[in-house]
Amino acid sequence: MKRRKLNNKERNHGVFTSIDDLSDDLKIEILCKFPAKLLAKLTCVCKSWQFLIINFCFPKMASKLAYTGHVSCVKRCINFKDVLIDEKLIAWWKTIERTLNKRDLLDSCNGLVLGFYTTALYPQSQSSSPRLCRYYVLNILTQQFDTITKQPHPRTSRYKYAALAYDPSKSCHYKIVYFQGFSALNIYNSKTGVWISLKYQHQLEHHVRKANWEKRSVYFDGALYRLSMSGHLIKFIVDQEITASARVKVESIDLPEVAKKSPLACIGVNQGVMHFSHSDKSNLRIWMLRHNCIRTDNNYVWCLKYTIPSQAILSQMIPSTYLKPMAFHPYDDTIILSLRVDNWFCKIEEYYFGDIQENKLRLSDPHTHYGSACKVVFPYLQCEVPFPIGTEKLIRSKRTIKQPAHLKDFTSS
Amino acid sequence: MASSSTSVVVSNKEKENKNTKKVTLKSSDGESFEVDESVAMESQTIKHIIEDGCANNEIPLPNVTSGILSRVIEYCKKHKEAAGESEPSVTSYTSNSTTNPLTEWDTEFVKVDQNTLFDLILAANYLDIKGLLDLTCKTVADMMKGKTPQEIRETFHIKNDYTPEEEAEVRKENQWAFE
Repeated sequence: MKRRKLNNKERNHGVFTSIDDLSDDLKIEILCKFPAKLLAKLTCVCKSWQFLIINFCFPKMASKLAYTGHVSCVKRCINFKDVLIDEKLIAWWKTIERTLNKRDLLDSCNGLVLGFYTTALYPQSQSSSPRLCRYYVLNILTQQFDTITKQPHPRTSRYKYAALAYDPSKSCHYKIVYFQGFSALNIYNSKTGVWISLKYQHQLEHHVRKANWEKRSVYFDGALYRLSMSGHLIKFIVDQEITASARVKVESIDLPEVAKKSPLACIGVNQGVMHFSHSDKSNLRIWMLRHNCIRTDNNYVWCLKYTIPSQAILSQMIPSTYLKPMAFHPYDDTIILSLRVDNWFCKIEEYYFGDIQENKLRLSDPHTHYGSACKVVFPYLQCEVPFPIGTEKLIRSKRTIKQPAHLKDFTSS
Repeated sequence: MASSSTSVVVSNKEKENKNTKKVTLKSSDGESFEVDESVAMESQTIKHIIEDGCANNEIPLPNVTSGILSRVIEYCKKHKEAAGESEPSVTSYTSNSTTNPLTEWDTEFVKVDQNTLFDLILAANYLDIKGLLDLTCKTVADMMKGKTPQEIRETFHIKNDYTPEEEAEVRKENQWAFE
């Protein structure tokens, strides 16, 4: 019989079993049963626990995020629909709202929300003082809020063209991607605490770059996607090692012919696949994107999933109402639509398109109307896993926490 | 006439044996425990051994001592009884409701010293008894709630390998978890 290695317990002559005697797998299994807030506290106990929690427990807990409602920005107010149900969350959100001055909702990605605001650098001064520009990221469920500064600029509104790249099931770190003009991306990585600029100018054709781009971006599978009015879907691959040439890989994907050059469209991730929806006077169409990497060049194909006559959706509405798709539900065959009349009366509704017999508008709240102010809607996925806070000060404090040598080294992006 | 009555007696006996089929579990320190097969099958590990036809005389469990094994059997018996009496949906292992009749019994069951508690976790994991694993893990979680990291280290005898600077930093990053 082979002699097997003694475990901790046997070495202690089986006198005392402590939690550290458990194998890493068992430790992870036990730790995963704890709520995320307790786990965040437990990262302070010792290094090996911190390593297990951040690299195994949190990604496991974030592998499937719940969805109950969307977040939108209406009249400079951020609304969480069907998300704020807990009293404590509501109270916390109220205090955050008070600290945010002119709030702008920019993006929501896998439970994290990105916004932008400015404050006067010298509030006391009467004349226009330079404005301090800040991005803020927050997670409603973990009640975390953090800010990242951006250097002041005369035209701060340009900073609003930004998006989040965050996937807690892979890594706790997030990136803020600011679209610097039409030639570069300025990316903040919470792991390093710095902003880096990456050029992509020559990878996109002139007419694609110069056309108007839809403000909203969608993060999916390591890339950010944006719609261009040139009739293309632009894909920016943001999750990659920064190469010496400091360039980011970008490609443009042709949109379906019938949907080209129309602003009444949106993209979104539904059931793990990129979808595109377009509305014209007669129909609402929904496509899904198939990506084949058979040959060396990438092959993208749009598969038309549904064509729904607009009349079916608008039958009970005022005539001259038109539809604009806003966002996709992450799991159901549901799309979030905005119904507008002459661009001033606007309602946000969810529309279930899956089963033809069951097609219907979920008229959630017939009395809410937002006016033309509601420009963006994001599906808000609920993430219980925390994100790192205070990362901006990282570079200055020279962080040197080393991983325990005896544990396997898993690289995290 | 006589033959038919004998056959009736035989078939009854067979039925009886089938209902109370027993298995013997042997602990690491050589002690044997005879239990109902249905009770033993609360453990998925044992269930697979029996189903694979490998349970001849005894099932050896070299990772479980007699003290722990007797407790595990006690747990399985109690939960099997409860499942038999009422609908399966009532015996919810992760139930927080007070309507679960076993909650009180479970709470008493885990009032043991730390050493025994972790031995139970190891046994529940090895024997693959979900309910017991969930119960014991929840107990450990409850022991940690409301304690500071230092108190947790003391309770569970964990060595602190952070330098004071590192500890301050990780504490600051997770300040929100302490509120």
